[in-house]
Formats: sequence, C-alpha cells, structure tokens
Amino acid sequence: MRKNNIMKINYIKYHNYRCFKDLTVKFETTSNKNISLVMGVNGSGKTEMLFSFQWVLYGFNFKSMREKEETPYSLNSTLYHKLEVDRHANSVDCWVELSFTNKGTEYFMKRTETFMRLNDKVSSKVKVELSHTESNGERTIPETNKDIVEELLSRIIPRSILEGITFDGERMKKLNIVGDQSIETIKNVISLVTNEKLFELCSGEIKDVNGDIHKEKMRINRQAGNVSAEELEKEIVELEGTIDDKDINLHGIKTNQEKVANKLAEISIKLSELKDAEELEQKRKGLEKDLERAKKNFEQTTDIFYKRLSDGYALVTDQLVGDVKQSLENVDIPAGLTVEAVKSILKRPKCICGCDMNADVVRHLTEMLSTLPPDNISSTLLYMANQFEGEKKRTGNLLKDAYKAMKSNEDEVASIKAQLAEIAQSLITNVSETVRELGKEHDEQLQLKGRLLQDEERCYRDKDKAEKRLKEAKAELQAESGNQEQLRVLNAQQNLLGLFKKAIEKIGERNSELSLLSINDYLSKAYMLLSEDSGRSIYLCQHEKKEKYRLVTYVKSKYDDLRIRWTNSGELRTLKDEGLSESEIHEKLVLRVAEGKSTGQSKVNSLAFAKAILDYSNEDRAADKLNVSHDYPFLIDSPFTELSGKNLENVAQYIHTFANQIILMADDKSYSGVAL
Amino acid sequence: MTPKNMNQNPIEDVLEELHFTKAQKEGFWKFLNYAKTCQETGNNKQLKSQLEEVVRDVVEKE
Repeated sequence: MRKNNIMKINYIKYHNYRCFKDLTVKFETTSNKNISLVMGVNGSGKTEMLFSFQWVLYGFNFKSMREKEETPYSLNSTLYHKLEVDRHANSVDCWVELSFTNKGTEYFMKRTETFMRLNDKVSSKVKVELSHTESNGERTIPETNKDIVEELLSRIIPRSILEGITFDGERMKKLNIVGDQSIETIKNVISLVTNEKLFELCSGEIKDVNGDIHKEKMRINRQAGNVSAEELEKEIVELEGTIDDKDINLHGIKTNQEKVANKLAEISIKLSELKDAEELEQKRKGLEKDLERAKKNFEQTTDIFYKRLSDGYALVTDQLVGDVKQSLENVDIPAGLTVEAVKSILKRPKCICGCDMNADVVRHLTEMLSTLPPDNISSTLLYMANQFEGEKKRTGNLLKDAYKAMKSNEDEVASIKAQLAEIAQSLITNVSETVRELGKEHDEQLQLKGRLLQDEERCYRDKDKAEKRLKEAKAELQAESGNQEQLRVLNAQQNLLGLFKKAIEKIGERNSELSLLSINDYLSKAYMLLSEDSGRSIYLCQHEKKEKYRLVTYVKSKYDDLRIRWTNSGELRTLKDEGLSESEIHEKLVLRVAEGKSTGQSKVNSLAFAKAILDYSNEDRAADKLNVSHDYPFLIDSPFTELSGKNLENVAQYIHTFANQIILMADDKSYSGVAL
Repeated sequence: MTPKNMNQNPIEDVLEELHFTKAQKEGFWKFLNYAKTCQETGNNKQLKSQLEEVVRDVVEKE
C-alpha cells in the first residue's frame, strides 16, 4: 500500500445534528491500533454517525434511510418540530464539522444547515466551509463556494469512493441477499472501484463528439452540394476561356469602334468642307440667275439702242440743223410769230416782253393779226429744226444711256461668267450628291457604331457574368478544397475516435475481467481469513458480462470433483473451444456447485466482499496511470452482528487488516462476543 | 495467474494491441485522466471540449 496516499479521519463534531445535540468524536488511531470503535445500543445513533460522514462532505438524502422517512432532515427532530409549531421561533443552525488528514494536510469540512420558519413552512439553507492547515500551522480562510468546495473535496475523496467505503448494515445485508437488490448493490460497488463508470463516461463522450463530427460532415456535404471539385475545375477552365474570348471580341470591337470613329471624323471633315462647297453652289445658282437677268437686260438695252438708231434721229447732223437756221434768219417774219401765238398773247394779262397788256398793246397785237400770214413756214421750219436738234440731243443721250446700260450689262454678264467659271472650278463634282452620299455613309457608320456599342455592352455583360461566376466557382472550389480538407480532418478525427472507442471498450472489458479476477482473488483470500470453514470458497459470479453480479460460496472439493469430471468428459475442452475464458469456465463450475448460506455465513461473505473491495481499491495500480488507488478509511456499521463461533473470531481478529483506519460501529451485544 | 500479474499495465497493453501511435497514446491518456478528474468532481461540462481538443491535437500531429 502506498503510504503517501493515506487518508485519515481525525474527528467529527456535531451541533443540533439529528440525534447529536453537541458532540465531538475523536478518532485517534495508530499503525498498531487502527480501529476506532463506536459502541452503542440499537437506536443510539451509530448508523446516523455513519451517514453523517456522507452528509458533512457531500450532503445526504435522509429519505433514502430505511425507516427514517419521518425525519428526512439534518436538524435534530425536537428542534425541527418546535420550529414547525412555534410561530415565533428563531432560526436554528445545525452543523457537522469533519477533520481529516490527507497526504499530510489537515482539512476541516463544515456543513451548516440553517432552518427557519417561512410562510408557516420550515425551510432551510445550507452553507459549506472547507479550510486546511498551512505549513505554518495556521488555518486558511474557509472556502464557501459550494461548487469549489465539492471540486476540492472530490480530489481528496470522491463521492463515489465515499459511498464505496461506507458500509452500513443495510448495504451489508443487501450484498448477500440473492436477488435484484444484491445484484444492484454489488454491481454499484464493483462499478465504483473498477472504473466502469469512467469508461462509460468516456464512451459516452466519444459517442457524443463522434455524433457532432458526423453532423458537421453532413453540414459540409450539404453545403458543398453535388458539384465536385473536378466539375468546378472544368467550369473554371471554360469560364477563363470565355473571358479570354470576350477580351478578344472586345479588342476587335474597340478596333472597329476606332475605325468607325475615324471614319466619322473623316466624314465630318468632308461634310464640313462640303458645306462651303454647298454655299458656293448656292452662289453659283444665284449667279446663273443674275446672268440670265443681266443677259436679258443687255438684250433689252441693245434693242432700245438699235431702235433709236433705226428711228433715224441719230442721222440728223449738226450741219443740217445749222443750215436750216441760217435760212430762216433771212426771212422778215420772226420765226415763231403766228396768229395762234398772238391770240395766245392777247389772252394773257402781260405781254411776253413783260409789259402790261394795255390798250395800245392789244391794239397793236390785234392789228398784227390782220397782217400775219395764215402759215408761217419759217416758224415751222424753225420749229422742226429745233425739234430735230432737241431730238438729236435726246437720242444721243438715249444712245449713250443704252450703250452704257448695254455695256454695263455686258460687263455684269462677263463678271458673272467669270465668277461662275471660278465656282465651276471649285465644284468639280456634284456637291449635293456627295453630301448625300456622305450623309448616308455617316448614318451607316453611326449605325455601325451603335451596333458596336451594343456588341461591346453585350461582351462586357457576358465577360462580367463570366468573371463573376469564375470568382464564385473559384471560391466554391476553394471552399470545396477547404471542405475536402475539413472532411479529411473530420474523417481522421472520427477514425481516431473510433480507435479511442475500441480502446475504451477493450480496456473496459479487460479491466472488468481483470478487476473481477483481482477482486475474486482478494475475495477468496479474505474469505479464507474470515470464514470458519476452510473447505469452502467464495466467488463473485458475473452473469451476462458486467450486467449482474452474485456472491456464491461453494465447497472446494465438490468444485474439484466437477472439474475433473468435465475434464474427463471433454466438456471443458468444448467450452474452451467455444471461446470461453478461464474465468467464465470457472464461473460455470462454481455455479454448478453453489450452495445456500446461513445468516452467519452471509455476514462473513459480506465482510469478505467489503475487504476484497477495499483491498482492491487500496491496491497500488499505478501502472495503469489512472492513479485510482488510494488508501481510504473504512467505515462499517455492525460488522459482528449475526456472527458467531470461528467466524466471529476471525472477523474480530482480522478486521484491522481491512484498511489503515477503520471506524467501526457495534452494539453492546455483538461486541461482547468479540470482547470475549 | 495472479491479479498482480494481470494488472501490470492493462491499458498500455490494449493501446499497444491496437497499434496506437505515440501521439494517439498521449492523447488517449490525456482524455482518460481528464475524464477521471471529471468523474471525481462530478463536473463533466468540459470533458467534451477536452476530448475535442485532444482529437484535434492528435490529428494535427499525425
């Protein structure tokens, strides 16, 4: 046994706890004297004390105590009932303090339950305090957080172990009653000391984590959909090809657009140039009209000129007119004096010479009338000569004007013709037609530009779409790769969990088998030590593997005989061939020769089992690295009851070997037998 | 066969039989010891995350 893992109980103090009002029980043990005996008559509180160890450490359900259901609380029943009936009662504390030493450190665990009356009902609240002595001997400030206290305690004495080392009368009885109760009790005890629960816990967690991984894998698979990485890679290549094609198309479109732009610019320049030409054309047309008009004017003025010439007035010469006038100077009657002229003068108020028309003048003129010839040739000739002269001047002027106009029109025509010749030089081609052609071409180019723009937009759209999808596909591929990697990791994790599970199952199975063998070995030794009948042995049978346990005693000689018979008959060989282990075959043989037990024998069986369990739990199994081994104290109630003779003697003699510290409760009667 | 002989190192034996690698063994022991602490404390809240961590670590190492 490892001495460094020894745990020892020093004392337990009570205040108002159940049947203990104020009490301190010290357990002073030495290596030679490791038993603390608590004696008392039935009902004095021995079992209460046993359970108080559980209550102070982890709390205890008093309802589980047989025939104690009427006081299912920690407080002293008298105080509790007083609290129930007295409306003015104050709150009452009950507490238990346990001192124990573990690995050289002394601990103080105190559990206080304060009871109070609240709304006509008794309620309570619990307070825990755990402290320990430090190297300087001083006691630490108690830890009062329940969770922390439980955690600290569990490192020293786990609840499961506490239950495994506390044997009350009920549990002892249960061990030996063949039935569900005993099976359950043994199973629980075995389970506690063989780490079965630990392996169950491990298996459960492995299953749980495995389930989570499975769910995660399902989620990833769902997320990934049905598209494989290969398909995505193929799609990416296609999309990249599409994008390249679109780039080429766009390049072509841009080139064409540049061409169209250049063409349009060219056309614009041409059109701009042609606009000037068009203006010239318009001017030309105007000039042509002007030319027509000028020609017409020229013709008219020419006609007038020639008409003047043909009228002959232009033929009257100055010599002719002079000769006529010279001839007339030789005539006595002044030219121009005619009857009509005199008559006209007579009608006037004044004479043509300016004198007033008096009677003398009138008379003179009247007389003249009578002297004048009826026709005055001279006057006529003069008149005609003057007329010719005047006409000559007028015709001359007209001819001058006509010539001038004709000349002017001729010049204008010449000028227009010159201008037209100049315009004609500029307008070699038909301007309008060219403009129309160019306009048509311009329109075509614009249409082409529009189409190119549409193509460009479509190309960009397709390219954007392809790029977007490419991005998505790449992300999907990356995610798919990530998923694949994740799935690979998850699969590896599942494989590892599978391996862990297999190991746990195998270890659990082997541990159970080894534990059973080990416990049976300790059981057999304990039985030999305690039982009066050396011809018998005991075996902890396990039916249906780990599910049911049963303590069975048998006569060794009967077992040996049966084994020989089975060996001879070949049955043992058959069982081995069927794959049964040695322990299973042994169990079969034991069950064949199992026998009933007397009450005293049953008690020995229970004690042997308790010792086997303690020996097993105190066994140094450091090799398994779980460090489950620990030398705990043994608390047992009424171990001597129902024992007699050699059995009682043996138990009394060897009970000190059960553990390093034994707290033993016994009544007077049973102990008197031991004392004797 | 005595119990002592049988209990030499059953867990290690099983791990050897199942061809556990060094990392797997370390992880397994870590988990098992933590499970034991959890069992003793009655507080299993962190055991699952501990197992997850162990499994992750081992797979990462492998």
